[in-house]
Amino acid sequence: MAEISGIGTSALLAYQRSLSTVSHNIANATTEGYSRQRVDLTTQTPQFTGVGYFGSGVRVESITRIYDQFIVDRLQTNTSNYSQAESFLGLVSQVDNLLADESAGLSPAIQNFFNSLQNSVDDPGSTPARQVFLSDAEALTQRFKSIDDRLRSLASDAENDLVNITNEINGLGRALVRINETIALGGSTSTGQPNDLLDQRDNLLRELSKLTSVNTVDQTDGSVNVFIGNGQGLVVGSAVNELQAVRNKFDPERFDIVISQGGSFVDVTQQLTGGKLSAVVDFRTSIIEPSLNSLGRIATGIGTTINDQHLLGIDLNGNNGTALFNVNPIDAAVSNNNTGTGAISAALTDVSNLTNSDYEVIYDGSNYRVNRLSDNANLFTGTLTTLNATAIDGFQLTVTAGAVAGDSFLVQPTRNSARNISVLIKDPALVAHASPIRSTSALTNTGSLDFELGAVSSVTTFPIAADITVVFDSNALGAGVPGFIVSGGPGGTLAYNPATESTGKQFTLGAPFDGINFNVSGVPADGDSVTITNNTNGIGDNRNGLLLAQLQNSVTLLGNNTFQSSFGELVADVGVRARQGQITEETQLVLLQQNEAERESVSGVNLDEEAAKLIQLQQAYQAAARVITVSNSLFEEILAAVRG
Amino acid sequence: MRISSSQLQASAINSILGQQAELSRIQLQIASGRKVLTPSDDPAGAARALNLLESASSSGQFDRNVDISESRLQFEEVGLTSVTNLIQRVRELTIQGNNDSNDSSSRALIASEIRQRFDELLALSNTRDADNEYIFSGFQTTTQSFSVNPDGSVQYNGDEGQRFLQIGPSRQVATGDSGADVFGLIGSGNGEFTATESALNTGSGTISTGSIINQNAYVADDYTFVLGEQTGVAGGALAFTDNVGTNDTLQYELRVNGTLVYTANEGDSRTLTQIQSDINGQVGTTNVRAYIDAGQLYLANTSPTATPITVNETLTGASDGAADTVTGFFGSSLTGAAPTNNVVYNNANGYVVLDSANAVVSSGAYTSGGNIDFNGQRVNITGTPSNGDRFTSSTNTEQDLFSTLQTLITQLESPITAIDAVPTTATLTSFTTATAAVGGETLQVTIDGIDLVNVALAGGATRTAAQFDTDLATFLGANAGYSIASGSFATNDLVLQKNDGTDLVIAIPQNTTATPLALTGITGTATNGFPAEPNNIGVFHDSMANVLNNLDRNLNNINDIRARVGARLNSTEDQANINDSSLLQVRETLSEIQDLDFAEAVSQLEQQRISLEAAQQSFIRIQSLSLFNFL
Repeated sequence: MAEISGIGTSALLAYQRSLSTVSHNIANATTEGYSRQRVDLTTQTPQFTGVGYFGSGVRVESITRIYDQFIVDRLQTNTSNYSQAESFLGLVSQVDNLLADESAGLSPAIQNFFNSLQNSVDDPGSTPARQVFLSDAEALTQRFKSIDDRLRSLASDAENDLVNITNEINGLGRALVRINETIALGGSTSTGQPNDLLDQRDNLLRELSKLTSVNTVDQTDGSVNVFIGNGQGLVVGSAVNELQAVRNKFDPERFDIVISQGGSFVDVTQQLTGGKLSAVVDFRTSIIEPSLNSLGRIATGIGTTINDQHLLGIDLNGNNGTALFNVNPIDAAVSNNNTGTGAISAALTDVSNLTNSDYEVIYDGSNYRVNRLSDNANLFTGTLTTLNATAIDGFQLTVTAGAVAGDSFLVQPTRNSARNISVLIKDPALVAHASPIRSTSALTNTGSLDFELGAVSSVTTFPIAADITVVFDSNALGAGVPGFIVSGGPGGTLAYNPATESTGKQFTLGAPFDGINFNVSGVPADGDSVTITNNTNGIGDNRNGLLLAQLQNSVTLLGNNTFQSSFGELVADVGVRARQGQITEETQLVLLQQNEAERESVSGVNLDEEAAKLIQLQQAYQAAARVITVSNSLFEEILAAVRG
Repeated sequence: MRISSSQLQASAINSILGQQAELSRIQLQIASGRKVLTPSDDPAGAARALNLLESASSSGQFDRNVDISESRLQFEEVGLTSVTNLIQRVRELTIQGNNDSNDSSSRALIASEIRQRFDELLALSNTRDADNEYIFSGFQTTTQSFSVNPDGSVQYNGDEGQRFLQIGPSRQVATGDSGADVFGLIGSGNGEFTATESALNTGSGTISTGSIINQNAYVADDYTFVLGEQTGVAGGALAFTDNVGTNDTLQYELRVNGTLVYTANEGDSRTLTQIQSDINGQVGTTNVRAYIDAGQLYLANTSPTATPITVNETLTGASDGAADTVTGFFGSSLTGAAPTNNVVYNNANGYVVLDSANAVVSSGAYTSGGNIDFNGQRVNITGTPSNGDRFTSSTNTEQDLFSTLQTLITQLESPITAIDAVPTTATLTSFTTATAAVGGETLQVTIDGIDLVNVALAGGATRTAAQFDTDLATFLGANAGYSIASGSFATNDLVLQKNDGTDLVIAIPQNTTATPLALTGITGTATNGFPAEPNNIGVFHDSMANVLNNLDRNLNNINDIRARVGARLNSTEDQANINDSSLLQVRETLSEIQDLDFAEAVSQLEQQRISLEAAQQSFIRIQSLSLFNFL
């Protein structure tokens, strides 16, 4: 009887436990990261009698969570990947949207600049047209600045994100240490797993994996060591190796992530893959910096080429053209960590060779190495003297001696160009639309000489000191050798045979007047002359202006680009990145959702299932209670029989 | 597969959220009308769209430039049309003024209209556009194009600059022409040289405008055509041979216009070149210059007003009686004592072309209207030029339209003396009474070959000044066209006038009778009736012809420029069409890249809406399913 009662009681207790677990499951049906639990029942140790073993009831063996480590590991990885993709997409979309606006982009500003230049060239004497041109030049520089500002503000947000993420990772690390300790404490009693704590730890790890990629190594005491990125130990035992955001050695606006390892700090910015952290770093290096550089390259390109041409013209007052734009020089910085005294400066040599990259110059004690950061190409290895005599990607470095091994320098050819470009000319009269010289054929010419001045180049200083006269003489270069006798300027003679060259011949005057070119055709008569004079009062002249306007469609930047197509390239680059980001995000989302479905499939609570269990367990409980009732009535029967 | 309750919910919600996002995207596309919302939607398309927008905007700017070019060119065209009309009118006036029926006052009237036209031309040449810029000043648009100097000449102040506008991606068009091209720098005459006749010519020869017949052979220079005598003396040398002995004193003498230029003794010889220098050694006295070309000797008066050239060859001195024969230069065979060969050259029968260094470049026999070709150019001289008449062909210093008009005005306002001829006069300065010593001598004095006096005087008889006056009165009565300007023989101050201005020759032929009267007492000076003003009608016509020629050339030049302007207008029009069609093309492509297909988008929207509704309804249904409902 006692056995029956005992068995019934054991069953009652077991089903009570089971019911409470089912209730726990139902209660946590929507708890994030909760793994459903199961009560494992087993028979009590049977009693041996002479006839054999009698069962002695049921007991709860363990309460386990339904859980698949493999799925959870994959979930962490995929969470990390998705979080990276999602964050990157969020960041790149901002730039994408920034560039999407056709009216706010750079293109219309460049177009307006050149359109008003054309208008001004159409009517070079008109001060209002010149004023509009200058205003549009100003608007162009403002547009450069505003796009640059917006990119930089996104960059600055990203830097803040980096600092915040670093703090979050550290916080999660500390929480993991605490939970590790609790688990280890409970785990040591070997009374089964602390299921809910394990779920919580998994949750923390998943949170962490949103920030960066996570690897865990289980320890015997139930705790885990947590490694992030490429294996940097964040939680090892009960210690947290905290990450720190420190300012970049070249650029104090930038943060690098360092981790303390054995008392020293190691830069792990590039090592921290996956998660939001990696997305931010990636955004900074693959979107913001190239975009700023690309924008700056266009600014340097427009500024330099327009200036170069503008210097070749003369303004309404007849003075030589001056620089229209203030163009940012190439920035070259010394690392804060340098111990030597080597200084660096850089000068632009060829705007068409500038790239969108930054460059690093490293001194290894004997040689200087110049690396292009965008593709890590080593462009130069050699001595200081050679370095100072070698043009690299459109610029020329000047490094002074005094560097010690390990010193480094950063060259940013165009990083700050967009924000620093400005218009130098405020007076509309100073716009140089005219060419510095003109030619005049003598009224007494009798031949069919056609003389046409070409574009001037900067090798000759204008205005010229005295008129240059070119006179045809059929014996200019000796008897029977026709040509031109040049008086003034370089003097000398120029061979020209009307019999064979009357369709046109190109001439360049001798140095230092070799900036003057002209084309001669036709049959001049002896003594026919043309005078090249300074273009005094050439108010209606727009030759230089035309050349300025043509720069719009000239291929002046690397990659066969005009200014506008260069901007188009930037837009396309960012667009492609954003597109890739979208696709990656979608793919990762699907993977993550599948993963979550797998996890839910294993560990998730199905209420119907629990309801069924509830009914089953209730029935079992009722039956067990019945057993006790039966046992009781049996006992009553016996008592009644004894009472008789 | 086992499904957890939260999974069931999550997947349903995820799908609803996804549907909503898609719905919102389509809605945004429809609202904006654009397929591409951000560059990431179509990165290549976005970059392309930027380039296309640039093209579209550039095309717009090019269209604007085309408009400006057209308006500038049309403005120029209007100015050029006015100039054309002006030249046409001046041309009419020139032809009218060239008419011989005009007298000087009607010419002056024409000139005064041309003066007005000249002022109009000056105003046209200084045309300013809407921006107040001179359109014919080249680059110096704020400098007045043409200004009048104190001496009346017009000066160009601009340069040869042309303003170009960019009317297409790789197309520029000139939107103007410099004043130098339009009004100046136009060659007069044939464009290379101008042929004119000397104002002092006495013959009737006129020279044509001439032309370049061989550009390669053409040598620009100032040439003089000297009309003179092709003497027929060619090559060879004078051989003066005495067939008998060497003792005589026979000499050969060559005289030109009475002046001894060369004397040869027996045994002497002389080449053509030596003879030329002999003759030219006496130019100061004889006023005759010799030229050699192609082995042929030419003689020409240095002064066109001079009389015909007389060449005289004589043998003088004592002959030894034998038949000394000399063949003279001028074709004569001189034999015997004191034989004389006189050659008189009246009208020119040859020409010599001299360059500016006075070197002979060509020569030939003169034929009226014949081609005179040399150094790549050709002129024609027509008529009967006198010996010594000169024509010139000078290299052009390019003459502008203003100078042409000014020349015209000057010509029209200058008197033309061929109509109001200056009479020829002969002035008597000394008269001595003619006296016959022996008796029977004949006193003959002729005026232009007509006898004034032709009487035989008795011995000791005289012919007094008073009688001469009577003779003159008789002469005047018999011959029209002569008159006494003033004075008389008696008062020793007679001025005889010949009204038609032709030569007045008073001669006392002494060889008409066996015993002529030596009349030495009449001396005086004769003034030939050549125009005192060097503007005879021939010169006037010539220069008017030149003016016409110049006007035509100017007109042609302006027509050329108008044609160029027209061509430019056409090409800007073409370019405008090209720009428009490329703009259309660009817009189409842009639309293909960016614009939404509304029909498609709306149907997508509808589809999306239906599936969202379905998802929502099924969600509600599924959510209501729970076993707990039945507990």
